[in-house]
Amino acid sequence: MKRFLILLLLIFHTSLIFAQGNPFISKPDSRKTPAPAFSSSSPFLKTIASAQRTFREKLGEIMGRVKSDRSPLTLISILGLSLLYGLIHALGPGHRKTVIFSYFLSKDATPSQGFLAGFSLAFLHAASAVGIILVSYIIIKSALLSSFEQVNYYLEGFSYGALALIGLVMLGITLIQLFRRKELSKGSGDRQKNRSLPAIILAAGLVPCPGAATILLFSISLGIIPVGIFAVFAMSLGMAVIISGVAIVTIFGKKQLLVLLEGKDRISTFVHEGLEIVGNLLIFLFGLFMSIPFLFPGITGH
Amino acid sequence: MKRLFGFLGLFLLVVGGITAHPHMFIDSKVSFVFDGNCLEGFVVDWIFDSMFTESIILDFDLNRDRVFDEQEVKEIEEGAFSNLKNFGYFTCLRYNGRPYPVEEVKNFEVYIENDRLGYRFFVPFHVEAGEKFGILRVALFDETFFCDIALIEDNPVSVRGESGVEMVIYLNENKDLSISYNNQNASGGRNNTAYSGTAYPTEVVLKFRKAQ
Repeated sequence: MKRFLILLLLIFHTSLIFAQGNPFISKPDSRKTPAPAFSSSSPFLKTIASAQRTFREKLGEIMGRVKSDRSPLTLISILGLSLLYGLIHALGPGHRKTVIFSYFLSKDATPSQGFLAGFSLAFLHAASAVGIILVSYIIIKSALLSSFEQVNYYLEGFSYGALALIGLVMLGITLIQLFRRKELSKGSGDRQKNRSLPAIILAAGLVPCPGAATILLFSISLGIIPVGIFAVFAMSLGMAVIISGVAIVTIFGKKQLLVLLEGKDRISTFVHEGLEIVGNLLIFLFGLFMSIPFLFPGITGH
Repeated sequence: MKRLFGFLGLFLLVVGGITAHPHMFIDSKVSFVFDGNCLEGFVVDWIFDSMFTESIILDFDLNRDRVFDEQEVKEIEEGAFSNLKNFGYFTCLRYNGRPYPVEEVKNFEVYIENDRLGYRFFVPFHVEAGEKFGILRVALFDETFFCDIALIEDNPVSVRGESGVEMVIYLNENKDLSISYNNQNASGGRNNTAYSGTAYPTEVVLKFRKAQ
């Protein structure tokens, strides 16, 4: 029980970092975004932050030259830098890696399903940012950053609520199945078992990536929207590599763990069922925990 | 079972422990303002990355002349600065070991320098130089880590208006005085927050006293 509680604390330690709105921009309820638990003194973190700073500045510099230099080399440089920026960017917290991890912890899945989940989530994450910014640009033409932050705020709340609900439903189904002793057997049930994956991806990926939004806003300001859209999708490709990596590592890790338990049927079944319950429970608790500031803004003391 | 929890714990530490996630990059500098031998406060300059620069221009510089008039500055202050009050203006200060929350700043300005947006504001902190050294520590950081704030490499600190004061200035990553988000006594004024964790941002240290 003690270990389980420590595990939950770790999850919430990592999940706190998900709710990231731009602190400069006023929110509908002027709430203060939950802050991460972090140590900025780590040389590795500083290196990551510094690399992102360098990539983004370089990207900004090259995008700034596009109007006068539309050579293939410039465009390829933009796409390449965006991809690398996305890769490093997704190495940090957020981008729903905890959800992906929890989901594949609870389900038996193939690496290709993990790969697809990571890519779908990353593209939806970026597409959501593109959609919000472009619609705001077409309709209101001004206050794009603040409009983005407002929409982002509500989408975040909706996303967390939806994840809590999906997690709860998945947990309920799992518990009912276990109660009826309809344990899922290998082979035939995989696809059926992962029917909730699209809902998870939709709920988790709907929240727009602020990094992608910033690139698109920058391209609008420079009058190079198509270049900005391509850059955003190149960036999402970089993020997809990391998110898919998390999914695939989880799938392999779980498989390895079960291989270690081969021949110990009772323990293996216990662990298998336990992972399913824990994974679903984590999605539910993550969604619930992150919904609290949206449901009860006063609870954070602001 | 140990292996299971070991695996999960290790995975979470690897995946979740990497907590660098900045979306904005800010270069900063600090200028201490004296009136004779009295410290009046300090001016903070933030110079933003090119992308945030263009976002602000897009939203607030409606005539796109890259100059912000009085009305535009007012709108920027309301729409893209005043919310930082909830974050202590990313400014953490301690004097002689005691934290002082930054709840108010003055003289907000916006400018463009080398194609990059700059914010400048004054943080009031009045203290008269005494016979002994007073030690003021100023750290600029965003506790949500949405913004990566670094001091500029060349001359990040300056002093103006001083006379009859002896002072020493240096930069320090003070591991002995960490900022604990869930401990109001040790925190740099991050009150009423439900956070936990520790950070050691680089701080500007000003030691000053009356000239002997």
